[in-house]
Amino acid sequence: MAATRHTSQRISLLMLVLASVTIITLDYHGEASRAIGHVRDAFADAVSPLQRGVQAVLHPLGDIVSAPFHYGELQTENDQLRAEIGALSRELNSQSYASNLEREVQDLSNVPFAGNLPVLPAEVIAPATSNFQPTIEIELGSSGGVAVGMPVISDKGLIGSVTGVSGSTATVLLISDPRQMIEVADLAGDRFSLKGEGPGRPLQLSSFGATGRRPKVGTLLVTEGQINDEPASAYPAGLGVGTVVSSRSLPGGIVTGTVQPLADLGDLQIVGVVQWPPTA
Amino acid sequence: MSMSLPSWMRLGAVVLAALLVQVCVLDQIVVFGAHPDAMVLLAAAAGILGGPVRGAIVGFGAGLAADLAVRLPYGLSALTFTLVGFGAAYLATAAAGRDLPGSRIVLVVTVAVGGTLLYGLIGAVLGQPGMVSSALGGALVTVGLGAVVLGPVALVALRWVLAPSAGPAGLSVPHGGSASA
Repeated sequence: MAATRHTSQRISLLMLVLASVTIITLDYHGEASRAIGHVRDAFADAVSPLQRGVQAVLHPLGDIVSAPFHYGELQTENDQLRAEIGALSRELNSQSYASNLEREVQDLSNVPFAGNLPVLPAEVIAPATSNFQPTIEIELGSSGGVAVGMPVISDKGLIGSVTGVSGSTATVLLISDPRQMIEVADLAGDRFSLKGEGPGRPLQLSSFGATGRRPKVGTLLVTEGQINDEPASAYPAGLGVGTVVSSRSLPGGIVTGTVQPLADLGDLQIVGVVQWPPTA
Repeated sequence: MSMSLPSWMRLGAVVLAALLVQVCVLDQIVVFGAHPDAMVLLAAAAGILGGPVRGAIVGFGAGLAADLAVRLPYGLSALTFTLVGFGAAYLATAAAGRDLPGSRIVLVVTVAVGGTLLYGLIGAVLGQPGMVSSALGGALVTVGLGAVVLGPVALVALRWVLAPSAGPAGLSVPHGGSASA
């Protein structure tokens, strides 16, 4: 009797595991993947008004809950903030929060490194929805001109690229994700690649093959853009990405190192989607 | 004992409510770079209260719902939570007879942390980069802390879902043996 029950349980488990594996397999291929994408987009559209409302009401709650776990970090921040209080209070006297936000959006639209490319400002409505993928949700979707593959910037520099779009929202995969590989160059023209190493960690720098020079600490790295006949780049040239924190030469002339992103990827409120044609 | 139509309806309502709470509220609470996970708790609580088959079924459903909100392979959560629900029942069976106060909460927390680790490992096996990294430690701690707070709520919700109904039984699900008898 017990043996029969155990067999029945295992058969049930096997069927559900097979169903899951089938769904995963379908998601990796063609039409089914697109259909799943549509369902996900519809879900994002449906919950985004609720997300936006709850975010507006409960935003301080998240900070209150998070605060006790980041006490040391907060103490350092507190010292810095005290130093800024004077300047900020003067600013607050002359400008309201709304006009500050408006100015932030305006700054974003005039980011010099984005050149003449149109930048669509968007508010961040949610942080990462998965603990295994550093993303943000923004309140601008395909109806606002956003498409998969477009680069996303803050007023400091590149923060990621669009990986999913619904009608009214978009998902941005941050540059700290290991799926992100960015071709960059320093002012001397030396080319490197940057790879995400996870949230809160610097980007990993490596050279394309053997190179004579290694970048100095503090060197600014910008996106390289398209070069001659090479395949179209995912990013336009000249977007600031980060500064070199460390670098070293390995035997054979290979250069490795770490790079700190220019933007604070953990504190994004207003971002800009650069209308750069996504790669085919 | 089978799962009646009202139980299925209650399950749908609980999964939907948990998903909305996850997406709208819990995702905003970031501690150590991660947020609490309500969906894995449903699978864990179902396994502990309803046995392996119900645990697996609830885990599968909760996983499919959870996968709607993320941009990782669809079905990854369903696969993980199916195993979580099934495994939770066996852990509960092993712990039966040592019914200490709070033992179910300890079980829920253990299973939730184990489920998060399993999610990362299966993701890595499927070729997803960055699934097993230093960030995983933060996720395990935060999911564990979240399970301490939300675990009792999940147990209450699943007890309500799995409660026998007065009416006639509807869609039949083979009973997998309750660990909580």
